[in-house]
Amino acid sequence: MQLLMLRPSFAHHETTWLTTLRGLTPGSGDAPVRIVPDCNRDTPLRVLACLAAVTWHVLRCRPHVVITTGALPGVLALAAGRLLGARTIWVDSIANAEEMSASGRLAARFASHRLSQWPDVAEAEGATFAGSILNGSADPLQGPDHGPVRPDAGGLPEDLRPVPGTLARPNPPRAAGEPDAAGPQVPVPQDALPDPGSPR
Amino acid sequence: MIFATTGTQLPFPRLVRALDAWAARMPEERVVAQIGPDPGRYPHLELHATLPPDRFDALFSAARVVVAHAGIGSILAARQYDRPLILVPRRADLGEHRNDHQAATARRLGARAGLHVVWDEADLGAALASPPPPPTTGDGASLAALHAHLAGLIDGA
Repeated sequence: MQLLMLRPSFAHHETTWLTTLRGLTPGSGDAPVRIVPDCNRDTPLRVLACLAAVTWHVLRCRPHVVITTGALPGVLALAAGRLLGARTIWVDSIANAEEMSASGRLAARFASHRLSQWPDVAEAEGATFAGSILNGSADPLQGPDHGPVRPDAGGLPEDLRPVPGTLARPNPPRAAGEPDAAGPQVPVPQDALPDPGSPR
Repeated sequence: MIFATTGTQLPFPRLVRALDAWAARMPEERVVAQIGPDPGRYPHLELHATLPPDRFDALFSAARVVVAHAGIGSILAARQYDRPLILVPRRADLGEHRNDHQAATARRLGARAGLHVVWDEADLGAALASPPPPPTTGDGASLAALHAHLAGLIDGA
């Protein structure tokens, strides 16, 4: 669900969605959706099944970029993507407001870029903060016990700033009727191909 | 009508019991609950283990107030449908979740407009009697900044 909200940042690329939940499609547009088994640290056999499925799908679509909000299936997708030389992006769930998730820490091994949606969590983890899906989650006016950082690309390191002129975002930022709104974090590894025309 | 959701993955009997007890005292108010894999008997609630997305959305948007575990999905849905939301964080020490990230979420986001955090289920009745006003919509600046940053990472050489 959180990854669906990030869709405008890659909507202009050819995309394949991996998810553990059926019914994701309402927010994912026309892009293909593949279902993989869910897993977590307590289900080692399912981890293996999930790893096999995720690796298979990643090998098939050979993405240039893998982006995920977790959880463990997302880490597995980053690992598979890394193996293929893809750029791998972890966006930690906004639910992890005081420390990064265990999956997020594991993802450090495989992610070429790791973001938290909370400035102080990002700082503590050596990750990047660049904004969040909830307006004002880092806004001192609305979060009295929270830090002062406003999202500001100008404050980011040079190599992490958005590249001017490449921010084609043809689609509206949010589709209504997203699935399973109250469910726990939806693990959705996501592959985006920057240049649909180029073979890889 | 009150809609309650504890997600679909883990039971949350402490919250559902409190809701059932409240509903027993308030027979004139309909209470619909999505309670996940919870085998308990709650005779005063309309129970669903899970709901298809369209049913979930319809109930969420029709409720006068929503009661939920402190999952981000609940908070996002409450903003999407402009519904006041009462959050009850799951506690790891009671075996309600693997860790206490819901308490962290509630501490960090609970002061926002439209949300009210109930830390002790004994306070649920008072919260239902005077729920918070619906949430206010922000300007989207934080999400736009995140989109711009990610687009840079994805499109970059």
